[in-house]
Order: sequence, then C-alpha cells, then structure tokens
Amino acid sequence: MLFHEVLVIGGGLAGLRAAIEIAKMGQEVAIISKIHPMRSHSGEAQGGINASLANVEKSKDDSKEKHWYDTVKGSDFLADQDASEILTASAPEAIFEMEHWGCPFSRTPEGKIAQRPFGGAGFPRTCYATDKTGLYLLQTVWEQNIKHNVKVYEEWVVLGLATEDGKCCGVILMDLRSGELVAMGANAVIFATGGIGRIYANTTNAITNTGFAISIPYWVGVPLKDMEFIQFHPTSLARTHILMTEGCRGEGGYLRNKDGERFMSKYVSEKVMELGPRDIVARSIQTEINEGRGFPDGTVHLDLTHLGAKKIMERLPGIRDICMNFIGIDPIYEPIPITPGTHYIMGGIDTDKNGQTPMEGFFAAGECACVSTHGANRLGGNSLLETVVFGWRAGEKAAESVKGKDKKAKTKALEDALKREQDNIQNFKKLSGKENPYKIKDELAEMMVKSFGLFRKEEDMKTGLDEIMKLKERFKNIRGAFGGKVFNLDLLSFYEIKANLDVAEVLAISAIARKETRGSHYRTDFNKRDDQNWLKHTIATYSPEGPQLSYKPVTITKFQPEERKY
Amino acid sequence: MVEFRIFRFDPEKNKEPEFKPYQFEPFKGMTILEGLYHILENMDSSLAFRSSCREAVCGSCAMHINGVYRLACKTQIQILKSPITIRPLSHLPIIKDLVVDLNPFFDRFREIKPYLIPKENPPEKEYLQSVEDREKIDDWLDCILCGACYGSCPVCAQDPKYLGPHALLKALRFVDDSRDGATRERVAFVTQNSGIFRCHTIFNCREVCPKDLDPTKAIAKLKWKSVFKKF
Amino acid sequence: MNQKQSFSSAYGWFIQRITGILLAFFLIVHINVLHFGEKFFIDFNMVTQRLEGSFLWAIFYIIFIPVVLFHGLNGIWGLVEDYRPSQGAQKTVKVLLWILGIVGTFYGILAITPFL
Ligand SMILES: Cc1cc2nc3c(=O)[nH]c(=O)nc-3n(C[C@H](O)[C@H](O)[C@H](O)COP(=O)(O)OP(=O)(O)OC[C@H]3O[C@@H](n4cnc5c(N)ncnc54)[C@H](O)[C@@H]3O)c2cc1C
Ligand code: FES
Repeated sequence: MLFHEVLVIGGGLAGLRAAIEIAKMGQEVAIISKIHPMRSHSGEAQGGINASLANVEKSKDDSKEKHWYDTVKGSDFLADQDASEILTASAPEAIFEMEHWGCPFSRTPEGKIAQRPFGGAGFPRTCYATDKTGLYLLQTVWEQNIKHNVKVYEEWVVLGLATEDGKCCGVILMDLRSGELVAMGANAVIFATGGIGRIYANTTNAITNTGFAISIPYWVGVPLKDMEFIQFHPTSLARTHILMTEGCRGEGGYLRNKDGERFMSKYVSEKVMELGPRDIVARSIQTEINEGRGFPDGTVHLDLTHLGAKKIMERLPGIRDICMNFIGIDPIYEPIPITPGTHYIMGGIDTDKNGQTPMEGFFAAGECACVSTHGANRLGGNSLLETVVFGWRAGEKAAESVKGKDKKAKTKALEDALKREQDNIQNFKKLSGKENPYKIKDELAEMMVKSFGLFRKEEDMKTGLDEIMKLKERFKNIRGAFGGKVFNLDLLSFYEIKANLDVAEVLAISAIARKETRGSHYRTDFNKRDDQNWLKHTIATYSPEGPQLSYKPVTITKFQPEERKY
Repeated sequence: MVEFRIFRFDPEKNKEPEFKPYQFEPFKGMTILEGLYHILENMDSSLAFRSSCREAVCGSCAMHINGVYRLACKTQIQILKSPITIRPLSHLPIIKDLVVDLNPFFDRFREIKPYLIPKENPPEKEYLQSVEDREKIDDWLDCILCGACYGSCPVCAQDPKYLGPHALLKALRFVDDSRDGATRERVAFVTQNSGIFRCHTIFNCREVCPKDLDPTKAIAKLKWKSVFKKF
Repeated sequence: MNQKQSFSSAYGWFIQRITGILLAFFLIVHINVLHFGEKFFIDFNMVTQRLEGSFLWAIFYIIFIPVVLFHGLNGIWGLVEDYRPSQGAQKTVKVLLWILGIVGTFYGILAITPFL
C-alpha cells in the first residue's frame, strides 16, 4: 500500500507552499492534484498580493498593524483577530521569500517591489507583477518544488478520506490516467483544494473549482465554517464571467445601463462614481439589472470607448485580448457587457490558526480553508497572501505532527474506505434513470445565483433550498456514468455534481439562519449588522438528515467592532 | 450548424484512432472548449480532453484545431470553417482522445533547472533589481506550458531529447535575470548536443504561441551568449 | 545541469555564420569571373592565365578553399547530428569529415602554390 508521511492535496499556491515547508523540514511529502500544478486556479489571479512593505512614496506610513486593522474592518469584524494578525504580520516575510525564490515582481525606480492601491486598504500595499501576479507566484513555488524534488501525483483525484478512531489516516484516490482506485496512507493530510465558485453559474473561477473537494472532509465529519459568505466581483465579462479587472474602471471606464445612463451616480457620490467599494458597485449593478434597466441579456455595459485606442492598447491590452477572443467584441469600438460574478468563498473547512481542523491528522490551507482571516468579506490581495502564509504554517505544523510517528499505513481503515469508494463508483455506473446530470448541475448553478446571490431574502432562499432538495431527489434518477476507465471525466462529474448539491445545501441553510446583513451576506429583510446576536461563526456539521448548525465565538483581541464606513 | 470532427482513441476499446463527427448548433461567441463541453454533457460522455481556466492562462487545452496548434478555450468557433478537425498535440504519447502524455515535455523542462540559483545570499529584504533589469526578463515570463510550441516544432518531433522551445525560453528567463548566479552553467548546459544548436530557426514556435512569446528569438539570444559568453 | 559541457558546438555554429558571410562574397567573385567573363565556357588556359596574372588571385583561393570546405562539411555535420547517431557513429563521421576537410584543404592549396 502506498504511503507518505504527509500528503498535500492540491497543487495551487497553498498546496505547493505547504509542500516546500515540509520538504525543508526533512519530512517525506507528496502532492496530489487532479490537474497539473501549473494548471491550478491560482495562476488566474491578476491584481496582486498584500504586504505592508512601505515601498512607495504614498505608503511610507504603512505598517503591519494598519494592514491588520484594514483586514479586520474589511471583514466586517467577523475575522478572528489573532488569525488576521498572523496573516498581516507574516506578510512581508512571506513576500520577501517569494522574491528570493525568483518571483519577478514589478519594481519601483529604487529597485524595490512595486505596490499599487487596492480597495479597502488605507495605503498602496498590494505588491504586483504586472497583471499576472498569480501566474508568476505559481511558477515560483512550483519551481521550488522542482528544486526540492517533491513527488507530485498529477491527475490523481481525491475521492474520499480514510479515518480511524476519528483520526485521518489517508485518502482514496483515482488515477485519471489508468482509472484505478488507490488507497494511500499518510500520517497527516493537508487539503489545499481551492475555491468552490462553480456551484454558481456566474463564477470567475476555473472550471476545476467545484464543491467536490471541500465536501470530502465534510462527509466524514469535519465541519464547514461561515459558508454563507461569498464574495461577488462587480465586473465579469458577460456569459463567460471572465474577470474584468478593476483597472478598467481605474483607467476611467464608465458603467452604463440600457438607457446609456451612468447609473452609479444614483448609488454613490459624484466623486466616487464607478470607483466605489466592490460590494456597493456589485449591488448597484445588480439593482439596475433586477429593476429592468439592464440589457436584454441581463448585463450592463462597461464602456471604454471614450478612452481611445491608444490608452486601451497601452494600459489594458489583456482586457482587449479577452474581449476579442471570448465574445468577439473590440472594446475600442464597442462597450463590454458585464455582470457581477461570484468570485471567492470566505468560508470553508473549519481550521484553527495553524491550519489544524477538528480532526486529528487533517489540515487545511488556502481558499478551501476558513481560518477566518477574511471574516464576512475579503480584501483584494489578501487571499494570495493567505495561501502562502497559511500554506506555510499548515505545512510546518503537519510536519511537526508526524515526527516520530510510525511510517506505516493503517491498512484496515484504508481498505474499508477503498471499498466504500469502489461501491460508490459501481453505483454511479449502475444508475439507469433518465435525467441528464449536467442539467442538474446547470439548474443548481442558475438557482444559486438567483436565490443566494448579491441580495438575499428569506422567501427566495427558502424557495432555493426547496429547489436544492428537489434537485437532490432528481439526482437519484440520473443516467449511469460512462463505464470506461481511462480519463473518465463523466464519472468525475458525477462526484462533483453530488458534492455541489451538498455544499449548496450547507450554504443555503447557513445563509437562511443568519438573520442580519454582514459583509458579503446582504439581506434585504434584515439589512443591518447585528453584533448582539450574530457576531459569531456558523459551523455546519454533516448528518445524514442534512447539515447541523452550531456557532462559535469570534476572537477579538484588539479592535472593537464599529460601523464599517469608507 | 457546426461539425466537429474529433480524434477519438480509447486504449481500452480501439486499436486504431478514428475521427468522429459531432454536429450541433453553436451560439454566438462559443469557443471550441465550450463546444467540447457541449459534446461531453449532451452528446457523448466518453469524450476526454483537458481544461481548467477557460481564459487562456493555465495551458491545459492546447490542441491541433483545423491545422493549427491553438488553445481550445481561446478559439472562437465562428472564425473557423466547418467541419472543424480537432486532434491532440503531436509527437506525444496519446492517453485518450485529446489527452496526451506531457511527461516528455515536462521532463525536458526540468532538465534546465528551472528555478532561481541566487548569486548571493538573500538580503534581509528583497533583492534590489532595477526597472531596466526587470524589463530584460519581461518577454520570457509568460509561458503557460501549454505545449503548442513543442507540438509544432519539427525538431522536437524528430529528436525527443531536444530541450525544446519551452525549456530554452525558460533557461533564458533565468540567464537574463539579474538575481541569478548560475548563468555560465546554464549557458553551458543549453549548448550541449540536444540544446540550442538543434534549433533550425523554423519559427513555428513563435507562430503558434498563444501568449505571443518568441522562443525562436530566445534561442537565438542564447546562441550568441554561448559564443561570446558575455553574461 | 552538467557544468563540464564544452562550448565547441557554439564555436562551430559561430564560424558557420562567419564562413557563410565570407562565402557570399567569395562565391559572387568566383562565379562572376568564371562564367561571366570573356567566354561563357571556360578552359584550363583561361584559369591558369588569370592565376599567373596576379598573386592576389592565388591568395584569394587559398582563403576560399578552407572557408568553403569548413562551411560545407560543418553543414553536413549539422545534418548528421539532427539524426542523433550513436556515440560511435558520431565519432566516426566526425573523424571522416575532419580528414576530408584537412586533405581537401591541403590538396587544394598544393594546387595553388605554383602560382604564388
Ligand atoms: C479571476 C480571479 C482573480 C483573482 N485575483 C486575486 C488577486 O489579485 N489577489 C488575491 O489575493 N487573490 C486573488 N484571487 C483569489 C486567489 O486566486 C485564490 O483564492 C487562490 O489562488 C486560491 O489558491 P489555492 O492554492 O487555495 O487553490 P487553487 O489554486 O485553486 O488550487 C487548488 C488545487 O486543488 C486541486 N484539487 C481540487 N480538488 C481536488 C481533488 N478532489 N483531488 C485532488 N486535487 C484537487 C486542484 O488540482 C488544484 O491544484 C483571484 C481569484 C480569481 C477567481
Ligand atoms: S483552459 Fe486554461 S488555457 Fe485553455
């Protein structure tokens, strides 16, 4: 039976960073990723990564504490302040490390790492490498993994966790290339499986970011935290929902409704206009669309035509490329149709500030984890930071935890888990209903946008939840999965759709329960923040009857909750 | 109506590959990748292909589409003539349908030690790098390792040991980096038998690169550096 | 990365470029005087007359011969390398080409020396 002391699941920034740490500490580690690490979603990040380096003139008064405060304020005070403190205090060190490993950051005239302003931050503190920060960071950490000779199982999918006496002792994998199921023992497992954007139809996330990975630990009893908090980005390209960077508006782009009106003036002051905070702009756009002032395809226009060819070619060439390649529109001559898009999940697998989950031997880091540094709303540039800081910490902790332990797989537990997955697969193949599973996936995703989108309301959400339960019923009546072994995408989709349904249910129940407006969770029927009753984390635990909710206090060390005003 | 003629090969079932036709109605702006998903979800769930980002930054979906190596996610159906013939990347072992084994491709990449070997011990803060020095590597950074150049290069086809445009481009990225201290070893390494001098300046790599990089130029630069050792 | 890689192929490549440029010049002169002079069809007398006329012609050919031989034979070597022959075959071909080159140069120059 295969065995590694530590297994890292996920080859994105968080997973790769964790693996480097473990390898450096001399523990034996392997990475498992369902796609090649360089294909991970982290490579899509554009804007940058936050650290209070005070490298540019305007940020010379910046400090770790101010970064900490901005993060907590941005979170609408739901962040655990000890966790945010770690995040912001380790930021400079984490960035310098990336630089020492070769990350090609853009530079200031003095040769230091360049920084730019980002929403919700008091100073320009977002370190960037042109508009491809994520890609370059991902390249850098992957290169370090090559240097440390870390074993990577590419295109191996985790299907389940093996547990013994409530401890994690390995994973069940499918090797996509051969289609074989394999049990792999480990003394510690770190999940770094990224976001779940694909449960929404309008997501900016990669196709691989489904609800599957996060539901694997959920199914065996690891709780999910704060799942109701989903961030929406104001401008994503119509239909494809590819991110249109905030830079478009920064360079002077206008937002217009179907009457050609610059509607932002109705929602914010003339001074701010299109450059309001992310959540407000997103909600304003959605209001226009909901009230029938959008275009027939449910969009509004991001208008760059007045900027002129020169400026667009110079400053936004990537955006122009995307528009031409993906919707056949040249923004020099035509406005870009956009809608808000589901962007990021603040919640995730419940962990403490070391990445340790309630289950022994099981860690999580990156977007899939909820250390709760972002609380109810994440600041742009903080999540890349989270992946490296908490990837590093989780790696360190996991490596320490396996020191001196037996290097032997727990055969019995692994075999049981393997059997369970084999049965699951057999069942998927044996199904003989009529439904097309992909229809269910699409319907769920559409429904999530409608009922659990930017604006939430008790009745909408209840209808949404009903819909989820109906879809779950229908899922029992789907056609059988394709029976081949090699690279069976169909079978994988079955798992993913099943998981999407469960994760959506957790999200729905958590959201219905939280009767207040906080950060990204905006309720029209309870439109005030309610610190008295709701300054607490939602914890959802699996039970066969559906998720069971409980609550956990927020750690407040320094900053007392105050009204969040910009 | 559009017709996809897709290269199909399932090692469990087929002895020989075949092309299978699929007809459907595309919507405006539909990409090849969306077409493939349409087929997978509604017509033939046994189809295999790779994808992830659907926005041309992850490098999963390079394939041979109507005679040219392109990213499926970045290619609009409407710009191509139907029937659209889709084949996997060339001269790499086929796993299934459009999925090829990229190990040879990544193995070549690993050989060039694709990581920074610093000149000096790291300072407390960042290494200082002037804007001009940063600019020197700007052209060599954006590679997403999709394999289009490798698939289109006749030298790679004939010589599996040839380092290939992707690896050589990466080598220059470190050679040109003011922070890297292993320049001499790097240049010596790419000067070996299967290195830069196998390149016949055919320009295919530059022509197909979906990120508009120029590996041919990178290789030419390495050739000059190898002669003058002026690093 | 093996640090002991030699740079010989780099020089080979570089000299190939230089000889290429030289050839462009030499060949133009050479073909011009041979075929577009007084008569289209040349004979032995014409050649010897020209060579006896000025010792510069002799020097011209003494340079021309090694340049053309290097360029041609190194070109063949490039083709051979593309097909990745075994180590042994590579060595044999290399030695053969060198012998061909040296003997050719020696013999060619020998033929010119009387006119110096
Ligand atoms: C368009 C876009 C732009 C962004 N820009 C910024 C930005 O400018 N600044 C910022 O700070 N943040 C940004 N973010 C957020 C940030 O990119 C992500 O939060 C971060 O990259 C997540 O990294 P990760 O390592 O946790 O996960 P990922 O990079 O998503 O990696 C997940 C890994 O898990 C693997 N995996 C998943 N499921 C399984 C399974 N079942 N079995 C095996 N392996 C599995 C995958 O193969 C993958 O390798 C952006 C996000 C988006 C969508
Ligand atoms: S899917 Fe990422 S490059 Fe095409």
